[in-house]
Amino acid sequence: METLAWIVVIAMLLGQYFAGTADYFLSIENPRPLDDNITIITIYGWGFATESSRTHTAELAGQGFADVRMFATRRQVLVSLFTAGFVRPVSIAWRGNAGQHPLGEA
Amino acid sequence: MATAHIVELEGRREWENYHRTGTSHLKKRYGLRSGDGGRGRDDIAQAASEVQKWLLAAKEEGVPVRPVGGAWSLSNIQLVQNGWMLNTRRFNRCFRLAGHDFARPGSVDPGAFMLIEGGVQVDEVNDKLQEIERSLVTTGASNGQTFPGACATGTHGSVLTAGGIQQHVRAVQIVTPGGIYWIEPSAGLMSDDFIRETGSAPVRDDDAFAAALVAVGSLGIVTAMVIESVPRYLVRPWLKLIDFARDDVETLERGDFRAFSEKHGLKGHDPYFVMVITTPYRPWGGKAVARILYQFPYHSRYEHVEPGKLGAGYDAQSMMAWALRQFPWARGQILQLIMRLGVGKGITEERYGTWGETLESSRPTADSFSAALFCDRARLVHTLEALCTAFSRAGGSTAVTLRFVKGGYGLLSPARWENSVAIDCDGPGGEGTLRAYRKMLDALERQGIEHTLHWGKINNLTPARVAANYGDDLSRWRAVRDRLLPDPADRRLFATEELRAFGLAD
Repeated sequence: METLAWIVVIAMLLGQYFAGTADYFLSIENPRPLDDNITIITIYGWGFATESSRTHTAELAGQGFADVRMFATRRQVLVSLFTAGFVRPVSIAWRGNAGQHPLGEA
Repeated sequence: MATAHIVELEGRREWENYHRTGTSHLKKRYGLRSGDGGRGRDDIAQAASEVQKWLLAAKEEGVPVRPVGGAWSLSNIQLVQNGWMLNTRRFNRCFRLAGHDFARPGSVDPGAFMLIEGGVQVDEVNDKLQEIERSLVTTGASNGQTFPGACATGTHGSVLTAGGIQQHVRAVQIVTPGGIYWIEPSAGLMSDDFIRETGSAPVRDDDAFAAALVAVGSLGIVTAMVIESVPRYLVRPWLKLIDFARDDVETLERGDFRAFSEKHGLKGHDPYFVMVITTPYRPWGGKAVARILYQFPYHSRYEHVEPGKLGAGYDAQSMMAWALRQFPWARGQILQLIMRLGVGKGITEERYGTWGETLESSRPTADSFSAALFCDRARLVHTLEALCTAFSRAGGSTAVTLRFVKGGYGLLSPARWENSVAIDCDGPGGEGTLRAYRKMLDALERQGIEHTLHWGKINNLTPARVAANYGDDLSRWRAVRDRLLPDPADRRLFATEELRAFGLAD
């Protein structure tokens, strides 16, 4: 019984580890992306106390996002696991939109 | 109304390319931006003048420069160290041309041509052409590059009658510190008035045009192009997991694509596009993925579906990258399994889309490896066998894709043979794959198997290899470069580490 419990716990941890490195990708339709930027946002204390102060402002006024990708590196997932989620860093990769112009006359 | 201009984006920083295969340590990063109205020729003239002033300022500072569009290339060709970078992605307007813009108005259909700015993405070109009921003949598999950037490296697809994407280009505007040049074939295309109004000096010269088609970013900064399109058409995709035999490779080597299609694809039709994805462990005798497109006249009565449902973006790459990093010992089985999963039931039912609709919007594929080797189609069986044997023996674990492309269209087009095959190795990144690929290239060289390499992908190019591959065409390309950039200080402005490694810069 105890062995089974350990197997379940290890499977849960391994599952969290692998799932933690997954990519979440969100894009506007027909994106016109500019350069890639990566910001690391770290949430402390399971996000309870200081959530808003951990947000980040991207310098994209007037342009908007073309796409956003959220993921954690292996190291970031390990940090989260070993601190029982108290320190939870994630990487946010985002690209600004180059804008869409109508077809003009030469 | 804002006119085209350059803005300073940021000071000293580290900048990574799209696929994170290299880092530039920049002194400054700038952005070139389109104006927000007016005629295309005025916007282009203004931008070219701004770019020239920017180049002169860089020359005075003694810093190298690099224009960057989609930053797509994996060969680090877009990197510059301790220099200035000019991001062109917001210089992205497209324009219709009128009959009187051409030198011989009666002999051309102006609706077939479009003037595009230097930062326009391939995806944007597809969309704009669709608006005017036109289409490109071919593109690469992705549409995230800028059009001039894709041309600069000879990006190719697998349309059986087409060359690289640069085959659409009819005129190029290039800016150097010493001049703004409008380069066309000697027969000429645009009127003198039009060229003057773009702020350019005409260069009507076949060698200069052939050099500018695949410029590898070494002749100056491309600020505009005139491209020619064809009436829009529909393609019907066919995607299927097939039993791929040596006989099939021999059929492809002979160029008998109809016979290949009759066996594995839609019966009774000539294929327009043929691509085969296999593995280096078992290039034939096992399963492979065949993607075949058939061309049909355009009509509006087709059901619009997402690009993925038309077989776009066979996205095994990111899945493969993850699986092979975790389980490198099982790479042979993983590659086969992923192909099965990626193709699923395949696409054999009747679906249609325009050319642009068959391409997926670009998305980042982190930690990828991507390399492409070109060879003579008449030597396909021998080359594929040697490549796969050497690559798998060295531990290479990427998919191997066969794409067919016509040679020519540029002095430095890597498709050197009239009937060329591009053999792509795409998969997970990492030192192991890179080492295996380089060992494979060394093995091919030792065996005397003639090949060239994609400028924008992972390669082992050296000045000696480039000289051996391109011979007299390289001498002609250098002669053009020295005409456009006669001052050695101007040539140094575009001389990056990577271009020196290729022997394209002093």
